[in-house]
Amino acid sequence: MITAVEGWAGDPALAFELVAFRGAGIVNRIWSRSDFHGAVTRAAGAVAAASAPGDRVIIALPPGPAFLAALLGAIGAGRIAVPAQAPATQRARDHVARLRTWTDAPLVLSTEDDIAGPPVRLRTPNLSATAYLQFTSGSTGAPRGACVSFRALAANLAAIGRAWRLGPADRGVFWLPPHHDMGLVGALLAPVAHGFPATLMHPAAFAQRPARWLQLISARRATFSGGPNFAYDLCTHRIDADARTDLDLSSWRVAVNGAEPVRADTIARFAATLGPHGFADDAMKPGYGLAESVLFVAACDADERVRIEGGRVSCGRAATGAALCIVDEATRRPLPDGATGAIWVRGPSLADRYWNAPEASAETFGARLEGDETPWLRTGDLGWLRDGHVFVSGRAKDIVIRAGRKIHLADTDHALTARVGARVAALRVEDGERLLILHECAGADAAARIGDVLGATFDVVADQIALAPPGVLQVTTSGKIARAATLSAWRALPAQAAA
Amino acid sequence: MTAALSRSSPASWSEADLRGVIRIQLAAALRCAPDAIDEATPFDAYGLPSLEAVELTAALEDRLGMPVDAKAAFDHGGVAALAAHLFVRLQSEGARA
Repeated sequence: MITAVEGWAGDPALAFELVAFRGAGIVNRIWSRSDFHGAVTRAAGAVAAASAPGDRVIIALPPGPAFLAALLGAIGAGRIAVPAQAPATQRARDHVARLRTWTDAPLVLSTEDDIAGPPVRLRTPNLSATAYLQFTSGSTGAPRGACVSFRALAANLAAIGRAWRLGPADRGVFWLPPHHDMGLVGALLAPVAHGFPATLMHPAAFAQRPARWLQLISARRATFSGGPNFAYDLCTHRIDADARTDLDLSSWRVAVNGAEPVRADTIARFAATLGPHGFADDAMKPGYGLAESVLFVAACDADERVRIEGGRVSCGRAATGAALCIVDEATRRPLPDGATGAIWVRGPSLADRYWNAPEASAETFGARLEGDETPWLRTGDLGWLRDGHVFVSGRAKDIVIRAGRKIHLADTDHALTARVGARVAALRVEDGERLLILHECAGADAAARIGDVLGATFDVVADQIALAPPGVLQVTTSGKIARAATLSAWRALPAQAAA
Repeated sequence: MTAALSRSSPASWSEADLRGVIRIQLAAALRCAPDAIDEATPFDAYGLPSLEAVELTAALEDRLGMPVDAKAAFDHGGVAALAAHLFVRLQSEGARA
C-alpha cells in the first residue's frame, strides 16, 4: 500500500476525483497520482513533527481523498491510524473525544491544514505491525477497535482484487463514509492497491439525492461501486422516473452489496427498476464481511450469479486462503452443510485483537473447535453453508444493524435506562431487522426522551417505542435485560396477540 | 395552514410559514406529532439521526423548489434557525427571479 503510493511521485494519471453538488451542477477536484503522493508525504511530515513513533493518530477529516492521504501519512510515519467521523456535529465530536481517550492519542487530524507538513519519505512497514484500529461500535460501552496489521490488510486487499478481478481498467464511484471498513478498504484502499481511479462524493450528498450516485456511475462509466443493502433500497424508493431517464449503468460490472444483511426483495426490486437502464442482471455481488477480518470474508465473485435459498441470499464463497465453519457453539463442533449455526472464520486477513480489551479479544478472536487448538474468529453472525456458499440468516449477538453500523443492544439498554430513569429494554424483532423499545416509564414524554437518546447517542430511530405493563421486562440475576424472556412476555400480551 | 400553503408559491411564504413546513417534515422524520416539536430546540437534541437529517433537507428542496445544502440541518440547528436561514435564501432567490 505504502509502496504503491511511493511509486506515484511524478505520475500524472488520475488517482481520485472528489465531486460536490451545487444546485443542478457539480464541482469537482482532481487528484493525480502525483498530487496524492505529495499529500501523503506532507501528511507524514506533519504527523512526524507532532507525535512519536507508535502513537495513535485520529484521522477525522471529511470524506474524500485527503482522509486517505492523512491515514497513509500517519501509517507511513510509523504511527497507528485511528479512522473516525469528521467532528461536524456534537455526536461526532463526542465520538472523536471518546476514541481519543480510549486510544490515548496525542494527535487528531481533522482538516487539510492539519496535514500540510514538510514532505518526508515514507517508511516501509513491518508486516506484523498494526497499521490502524478499525472501531466498529461502542457508543456507551467499551469501544471495540480491531487492530489491523499490514499483513492482514494486504491479504484482504488481494482477496478483494481476486474475487472481482480488479485492475487498472476499472473505475470506482463511491459515497461511503471513510471511517467505516467498507468505505476505507473498499472505496479508498482497493482503488490504490489495484491501480484504478475512484470518483468520491460525500455520504450526505448521496443521502439527500440517491440519484446522484447512479448518475455519477453512469457519467464516469464506473465498473466498481457499492454500498449496504439500504442504499439499493433508497435508489428504488427515492429516485423517480425522471431522474432515471438518462442513466446508462451498463459499465457497472461489480455492484457490491455488503455491511448489512442482503435482502432478496431489495435485489429483485433494484434489478427490475434499473435493468431497463443497463444494470446487468449478474452485476449484483452480495458480500459478507466484518471489520475483525479487515472488511472482506466472502462474496459472490466476478463469475457468479446471486443464489437464493430459504429466502436468503448467498454471500458467495470464502476469500482465497480463508475458511468458514458453521459451528454449534454449545458443543463447539462443526455442523453439516445446510444446518444453521454460528459463523466462524479463519485465514490470513484477520485482525490480531481488539485494542485495550483482552477479554473481548479472547472471546472473539480465540474461538476453538472441540479438540483443536487452531484459533477462529467468532463473527457473532448465524448462517449455513451450501456447496461452499455462505447464507447469513441472522445474528447470534444482540446487535441491530442500521445503515451498515452495528448497534449493541446492551449499550442501548444501559444508556436509555440511565437517561430515562426507568427500566428500558431494546429488542430486535423480525430477524433483527426492526428495533423495538419497551419501557416502564409512565411519564407522558418518556417515548420522546427515549427517541432523543436513541438519535443523539446511537444515530438511530426505533421502529416502535412502547410502554410495557409491569412484569413484561425481565432481568437476569446480574440486572441485565433478559431479552428472549422479555420478548416472549411482550408477545404474550393480549394486545400483541391481536396485532 | 397546510392546505393554504400547498396551494401557494414558496416565494410568498412568511418565515412563520416556513417554520410550519419544517416542523411537519421534522415530525414525519421523527415519527411524532408536529405539536411535540419546539422550534428553538436544536435538531441534535431531538436526536434526529444523520440519514433523516439529510432526508429532511431533500424534502425541503422539493417543497421550496431551490437547493438546500445537505448539511443545512446540522449547520442551522433547530426549526427556527433553519427557517430564518431558508427565508433569507427564498427572498434572494425571489429577487433574482
